[in-house]
Amino acid sequence: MGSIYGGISMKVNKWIVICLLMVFFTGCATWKPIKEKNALWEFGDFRARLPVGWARTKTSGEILLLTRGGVYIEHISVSRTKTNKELPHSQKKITEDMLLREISQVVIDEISLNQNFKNFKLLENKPVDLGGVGAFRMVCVFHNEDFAKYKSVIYGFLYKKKYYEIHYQALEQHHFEKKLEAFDQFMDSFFFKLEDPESVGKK
Amino acid sequence: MIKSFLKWTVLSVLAVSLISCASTNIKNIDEQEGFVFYQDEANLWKQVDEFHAVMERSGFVYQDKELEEYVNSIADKMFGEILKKYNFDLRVYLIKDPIFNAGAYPNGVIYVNTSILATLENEAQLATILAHEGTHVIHRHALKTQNFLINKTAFYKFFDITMAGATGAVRGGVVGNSLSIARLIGGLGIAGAIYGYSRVLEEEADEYAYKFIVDAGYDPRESKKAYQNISTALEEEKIKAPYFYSTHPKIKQRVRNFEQYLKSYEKENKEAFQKVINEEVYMGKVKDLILENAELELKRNKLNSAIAQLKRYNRYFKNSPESYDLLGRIYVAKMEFKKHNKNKDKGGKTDDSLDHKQAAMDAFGQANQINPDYPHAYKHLGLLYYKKGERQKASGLFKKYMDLNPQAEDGEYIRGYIHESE
Repeated sequence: MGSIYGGISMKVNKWIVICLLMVFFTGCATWKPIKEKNALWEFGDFRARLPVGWARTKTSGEILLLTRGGVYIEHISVSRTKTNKELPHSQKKITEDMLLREISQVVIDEISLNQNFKNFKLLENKPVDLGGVGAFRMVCVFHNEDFAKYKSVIYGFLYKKKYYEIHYQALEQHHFEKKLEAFDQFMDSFFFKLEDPESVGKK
Repeated sequence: MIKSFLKWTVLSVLAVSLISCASTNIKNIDEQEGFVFYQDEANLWKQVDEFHAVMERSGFVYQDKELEEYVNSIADKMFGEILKKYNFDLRVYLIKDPIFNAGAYPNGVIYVNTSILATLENEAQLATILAHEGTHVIHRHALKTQNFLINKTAFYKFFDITMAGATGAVRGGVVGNSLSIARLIGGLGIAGAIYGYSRVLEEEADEYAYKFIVDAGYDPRESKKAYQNISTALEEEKIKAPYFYSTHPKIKQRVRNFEQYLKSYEKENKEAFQKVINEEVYMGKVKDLILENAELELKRNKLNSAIAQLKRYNRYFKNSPESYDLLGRIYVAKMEFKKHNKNKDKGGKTDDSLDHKQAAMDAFGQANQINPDYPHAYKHLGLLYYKKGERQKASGLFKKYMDLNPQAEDGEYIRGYIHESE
């Protein structure tokens, strides 16, 4: 008795389980430990050596996310956004005709208006050459919601109609300096497979 | 059987109402014999105290002790007697925020955003905002809102529990649910401070604010103008924010209310108003704040509002290269905005017929004329030429900037532009 209902219920249950599994696998980041020395990360025209002992993943917002002790302790991320898109806090856009100095200013405005970044302070903002592409390098400190103090290094640049950001962020006390070397090595190894280096922004 | 069921239902309803109903008979602070907490009021205060502690550490509180004292002295003129009599404290804090808002919290903390102060023209106008917000505190509007919501929820909760019983369902975590509901409602009570209270409570705040202003000797004609100024800025900027002072219909309603109070007051009081406006004192006190707020508005792309504030600033304080330089940068931002948003205009009324590039150049030129040793206007003018492709002109201006400001924070960028221009 009740086999019809039972049958439907079994089918429904199976689909619920499948859906839940799909949500679980697509929604959660899967972390892969980096065991090999000189492991290479490749994405489009970018190449970089990944730091040993860290773990890597990819999220919807970041094309690469690395951490050693957990993202709240420290992380390195590479993200990209389309240009000409209104940013949420400053309501400004990063456009292709902007000078690097102007882009860095938009990034500063965006962070300083975001109330999640408390006591934001810019320590440094300068132009740098990133493997043949003009970028800005910014160093700042801020407190998060729980008033933990973080220090960040941000590299930003325009590349093929997109704005890229490479970000190292760590708890200022104990962690920032300790892991900075790994980030510097990552950045030293960062290069572009450029067809025509002159064609991309060096402003 | 039916009788017995009805009897138990009535008893349950009574029990639930007695347990869950929060008092609606809440006296205003100035109607009590000395300040006494109502049930749950202390909890509400605790939440706000925690929030305020976060605000104080966040770096978002505007630091200018003299201005803060001045603003608090205005509140004191209106509420001082009540506060002393009922042993209650009211403290106004200024928040660095380019969005229009002000809010009053049950523990007597009032936040006013810098954008409001930069938009108002005189002390009487600021008194209007403080009187409105102070009334929310004195009349315990957060607590009243919270209790109203608790009672509403208690009604639904009764059905919730009864229905659970009727279906024989076993429902765990009722305590957990109540706690989270209470917390949510507490939050909603406080949310009124940010997003506005009910229409009735807001009108009550207007009505009493008017009395406080008149009693303190301020010119009540300025009250309407205070809200009109905010309303004009909202219109020009086309701001869409959920906060009370950023919601155009709500601000328009304040204008109408104060217009009405003024009419009936004029009918009843034939003799002239006391006319305390204190425009010059006010402008002197908010001088630095206007510049800092305009900088914030530039960051937030609130360009028309920033232009209006700076133009008023320039009428008062004629010799400020910083102000003209900032005005120039805002015109540059307008120019860029127009270039990248062809179909969407950021506020239409004020300057859109203007050639923003020329307006920017004029403003930078004015800054240099006022003070030829002020470095930043040279750099900003240089950047305009640099982007136009007039590299030689740009290079000369950049060099002047670096000569006057050799330790410039953005020196590496500027040196790079000089190098590229040569």
